Amino acid sequence: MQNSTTDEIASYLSHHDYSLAMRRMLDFSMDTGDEKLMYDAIGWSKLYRGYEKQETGKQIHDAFFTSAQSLLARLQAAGKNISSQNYALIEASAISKQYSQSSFSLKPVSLQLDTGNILGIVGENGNGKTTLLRCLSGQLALDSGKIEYKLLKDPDYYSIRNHVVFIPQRIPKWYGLLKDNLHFSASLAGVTGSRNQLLVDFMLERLNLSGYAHLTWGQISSGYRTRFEIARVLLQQPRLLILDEPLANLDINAQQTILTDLKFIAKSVHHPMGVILSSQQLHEVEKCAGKVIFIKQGNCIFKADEKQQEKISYALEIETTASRETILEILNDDRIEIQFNGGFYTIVSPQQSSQEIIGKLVHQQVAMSYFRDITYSTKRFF
Amino acid sequence: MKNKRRFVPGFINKLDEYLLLNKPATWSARTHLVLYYGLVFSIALTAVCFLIPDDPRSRSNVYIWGFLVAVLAVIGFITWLIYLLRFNVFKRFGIVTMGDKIKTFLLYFIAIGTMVVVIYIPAVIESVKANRAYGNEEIVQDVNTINLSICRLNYDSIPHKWKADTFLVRNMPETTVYDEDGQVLIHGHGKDFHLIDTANFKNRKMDADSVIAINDSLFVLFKCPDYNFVNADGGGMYADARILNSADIYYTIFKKPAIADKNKAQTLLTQLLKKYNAVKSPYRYDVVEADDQNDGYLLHIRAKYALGPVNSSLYNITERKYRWQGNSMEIFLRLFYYSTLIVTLLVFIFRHSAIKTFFLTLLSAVILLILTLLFLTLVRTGTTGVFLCCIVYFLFFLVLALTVNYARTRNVINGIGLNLTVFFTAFMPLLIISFYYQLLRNADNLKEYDARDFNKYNNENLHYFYAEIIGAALLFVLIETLFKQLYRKWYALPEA
Repeated sequence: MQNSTTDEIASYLSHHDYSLAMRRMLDFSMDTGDEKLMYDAIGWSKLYRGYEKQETGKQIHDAFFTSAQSLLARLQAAGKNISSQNYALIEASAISKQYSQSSFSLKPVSLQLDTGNILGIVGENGNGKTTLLRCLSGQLALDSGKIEYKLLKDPDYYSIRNHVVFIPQRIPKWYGLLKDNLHFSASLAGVTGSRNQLLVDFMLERLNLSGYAHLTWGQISSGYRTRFEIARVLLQQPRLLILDEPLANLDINAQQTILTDLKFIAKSVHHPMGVILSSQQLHEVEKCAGKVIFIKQGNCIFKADEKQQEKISYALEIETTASRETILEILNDDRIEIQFNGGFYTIVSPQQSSQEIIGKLVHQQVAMSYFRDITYSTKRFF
Repeated sequence: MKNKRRFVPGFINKLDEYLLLNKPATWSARTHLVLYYGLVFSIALTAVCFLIPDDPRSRSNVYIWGFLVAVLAVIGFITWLIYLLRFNVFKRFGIVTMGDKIKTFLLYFIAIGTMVVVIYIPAVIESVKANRAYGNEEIVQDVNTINLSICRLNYDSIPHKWKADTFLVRNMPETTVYDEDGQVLIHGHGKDFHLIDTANFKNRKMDADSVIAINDSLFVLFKCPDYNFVNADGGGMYADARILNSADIYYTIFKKPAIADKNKAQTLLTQLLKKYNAVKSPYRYDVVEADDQNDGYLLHIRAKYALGPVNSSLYNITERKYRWQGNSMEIFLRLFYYSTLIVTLLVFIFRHSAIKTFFLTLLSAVILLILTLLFLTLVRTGTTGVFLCCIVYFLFFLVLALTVNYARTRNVINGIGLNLTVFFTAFMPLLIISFYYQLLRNADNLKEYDARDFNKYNNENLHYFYAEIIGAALLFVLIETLFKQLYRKWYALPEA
């Protein structure tokens, strides 16, 4: 594991992807468990942040690369014997929920998740995503089915709520200094003294929040509030992190960063976790989640994961100025369906794969500004 | 961490930082900050109370001071509550270790106690100033000197003759007829004498200045004319010397011939009257209804020397000096303890209950109180009914609280039961003891007076004290065991 991580970081550095290199360096230092290395990684990250703030066009000093290489070598030496392990985390068997004061009900859903993995839950508004998440986090009582938290033995609900942390769509306001809130959260998990200081500084640096730690809740944007909330819950060291629409308040870049970070954090050797998140950003979620569940009208319509990808038919989205007739003529297959959704075409083919279809269109020089293979995406169910 | 708070010494900020990083429950209670700000406020208040001129002879305005400080204390309490509400280890499902609940409760108690105790500061400073201005022996000496001087100067105009009443002591027959004054007056052996029972005779004898026993049941009680023109309420209890009563003054002055040279007595009297004649009393403190011709001299003397303001001054001085003596200290301590305890319990419950459930608990308690009062008014059981209702309610709340162990979802009813159980636990031993003694009194009320055994009430106050101690101990034990487990279970339960 450590060699692949080292190579990964070295690759990022060599391709000038310093931001990613810095984040992975921090993750690696955390995995070693060596506090000195963590301090040094934080220092190196702050060095990079300093360069980030400089005028564009200015070269990064060689000292930066030298210290990066030195740190990487030390991390590699320290991380020789560490390896990741995955554990079964949660298993829900036919859980359902009926609200007494409305006609809506969540039909029986079964799912399971291991540490190191991300489960995405997608669906339209009001179809049961939040209900499912709250049931999994122990906030709502089930009407049927059961949930097993595999890492807990005969837990009471207090232990479950300590083990599973839920970040709602509307994050409750923080009071006082943001950094005090982070220290408090770490203390709640039994992290005290200098270790508390270290972990908070680490988390601030890891999620790029150091520059805002001295502020209060009212002084930061909603995107940073989400990031601070994630930092806070991570400091409580839960095993299962459940997020309801975490990407809603984030810009495109921040969405990508958060999802990538969640993926790395889940796979952490030091503290592997499972992540369950709901979102409307289908493509972004599908890129980082190993499994995706599509909920419609309280029913689990579709489950997709890396291992069990059942092919129904090939589906493709394209944006082009060509007409439907032109496309049909090029593809020359009566079984192909083409629907126009206002902005782009959705092509469904029982036989021709997405690559074949794109190949034919490119060969006939059809101008396409966008295309995406949605064969295994939940997008096709919307 | 940088120094966050202005006007706070560095060691307090360091302590704050240390607690945040190591003891989140202690840090979130903010007791260290309350103690610091409380100490600063107390010092400032003490200085202000000392610097503001205050004449111990004038009527105390400690109640106004107390009210003002209480308002400031309430503001401080609200401020503390706002900071307290921001962080909660329990509601974040943090790690809770053994002893955390008791520690949290004590931290709240200390913080709230700090805010309550500052209300006493103006009263304490008033007492200190009064004690520095007037000594215990000095007061007694001055009162005796004034009374003696007045008697010397008015030797001839003040009555000397003692009033005598004859009493025949026996148990009253059922057909006894009482006159309009409540006395039984019978005529025998050429004399009028009053027929009186044993209990009344004991009271009369205590009030008399002299007693002559004619035989086993016939007594003559003598009462000296009242020569205590000025008095210091309770002042004689805390000095080595004692305030002379009327009989003492009689034997000192009127048993001897009148003094020839009255100038010295006059000078002394004038000095002392000036010493204690601070402000005109807004009240006619010295007004005495003359119930027979002898008491007319009292009005005359008090008017002649304008003793009203003097008596007011002496009252004000002794009230300030001895404010904390005897039973008063017990009362103030209990006032402090119970007010702090009640607020602490409310805060503790609030910190462990859902907000909606907490306020519904308060509403339920008020509604229950109204319904109970209506019920008691109808059934007319008196105090016994009140105690019995409290005990029954507590048992009912306890049962409701224990059903949390079997609940699948969090519901308000269980929460209200749990909250009320926690609140009333400390008071239950006291209520039970009070109920017991009330039952004893009820049984005694059905018996003849002489058949009652009053010895069983000898240790009543001691038993109440023990009940208070047991109540507090019971609360501490249950907070760390049963209530901790019930709150942990209830708060974490999923919603329906």
